[in-house]
Amino acid sequence: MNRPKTQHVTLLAGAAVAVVFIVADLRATSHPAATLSGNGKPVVATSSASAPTPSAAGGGTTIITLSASPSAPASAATGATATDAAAAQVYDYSGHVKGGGASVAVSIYAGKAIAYVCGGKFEAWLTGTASNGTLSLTGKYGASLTGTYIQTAAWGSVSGAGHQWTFNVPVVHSPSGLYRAYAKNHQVQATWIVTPDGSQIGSVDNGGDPATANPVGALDLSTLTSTLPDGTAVTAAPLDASTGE
Amino acid sequence: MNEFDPQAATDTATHPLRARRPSPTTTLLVPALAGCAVSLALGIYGHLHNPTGVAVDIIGFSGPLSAKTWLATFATLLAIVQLVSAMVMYGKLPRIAAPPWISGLHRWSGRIAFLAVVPVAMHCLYSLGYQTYSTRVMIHSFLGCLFFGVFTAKMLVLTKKDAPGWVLPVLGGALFTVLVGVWFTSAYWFFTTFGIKR
Repeated sequence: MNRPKTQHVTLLAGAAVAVVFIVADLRATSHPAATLSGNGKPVVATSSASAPTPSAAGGGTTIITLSASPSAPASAATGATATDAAAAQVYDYSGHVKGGGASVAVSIYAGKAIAYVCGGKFEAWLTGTASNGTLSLTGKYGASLTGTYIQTAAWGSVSGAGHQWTFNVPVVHSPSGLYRAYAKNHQVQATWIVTPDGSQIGSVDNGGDPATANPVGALDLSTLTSTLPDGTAVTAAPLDASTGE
Repeated sequence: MNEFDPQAATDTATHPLRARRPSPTTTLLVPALAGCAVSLALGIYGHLHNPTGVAVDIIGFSGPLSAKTWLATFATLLAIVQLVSAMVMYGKLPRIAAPPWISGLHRWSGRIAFLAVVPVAMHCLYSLGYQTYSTRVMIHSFLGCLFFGVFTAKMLVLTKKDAPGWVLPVLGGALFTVLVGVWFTSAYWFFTTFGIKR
């Protein structure tokens, strides 16, 4: 009875697939500065860049897409045990949209959701509901966002300011998130999204018309100050669904 | 197949090698312990590991949960094939004689189903972790870990030709039941909450 034990092969194949996925997961979520890949090259996985091909042997790699996995580890997720919308707790998500070119921030609190999409020269504000894992938001000029959220990530599609994207972004904690500053007696509003890879993008508008959005200079995260394009110095405040809109 | 001869077990004088044949209890010990070890290892990893919230995406789906939902649904459909083909093999379906290809169908549908759920489990454990924040999630976490332990035990029992005849049907039935439970607490919930979408 020397027949090969195919059942052992089956178990090993399953273990091999598991290893492939764990390696791909680790590389997709590894911090740029923290990890070296097996061949000695630094793994640079930003949220809009491609994750490297998993190098582990075995099948299964072909079904893994290499695009747009948010890179920053969503830390402190284990502490969150709240259920969906019942929780009166703020969840902030932010990151780059798939393909890059814009960032999205979503904040939910007690069933309410706000979102902001910004590409510098365009922006869109959205408000709506977060309930049972489903995001449903709308904004001016036909902007809309639909998606799914869990304790640790949110994903879906968003359209606004003449663009449409899909996104898959992790939950974030300060200093990542959403910031807003006002100038000229609230006539001018500047908003920044800080993504978990440390980059940020912001726009300044003149009364909420997305057509007039302009890129705004960087927000100093230690002082929360910035200078608008017209020279006005502003101080920003963090914004989430429990306080904003 | 019919290697086990009850009389030979007592015939140790003429078959000295058979004297060391383990009893059925010993035969089942290794698969049982291995299965327990797998389930415990997955559960402990899922509980201790910080869920990342994100993982690699699988092409063609709107998000990780929908990808998992369809893979799990595919596996559950194959599990029904498993159940029916096993019943045919054991002659439990009246007036249906087992065709020669039925064992091949059973093996391959099982292998494919197993390989389909491995990525799902990896995403669960890596990205979401073992959670207990609602009844559904608690049952799902428990059954998900249990599934791979039972599967491991069943695969190992298959290699033991002297295992008692009732063991495989019991393990197979348990595997089917657990998988359906896993599916109901995840994919069924997903479809009824978000609608059937890709």
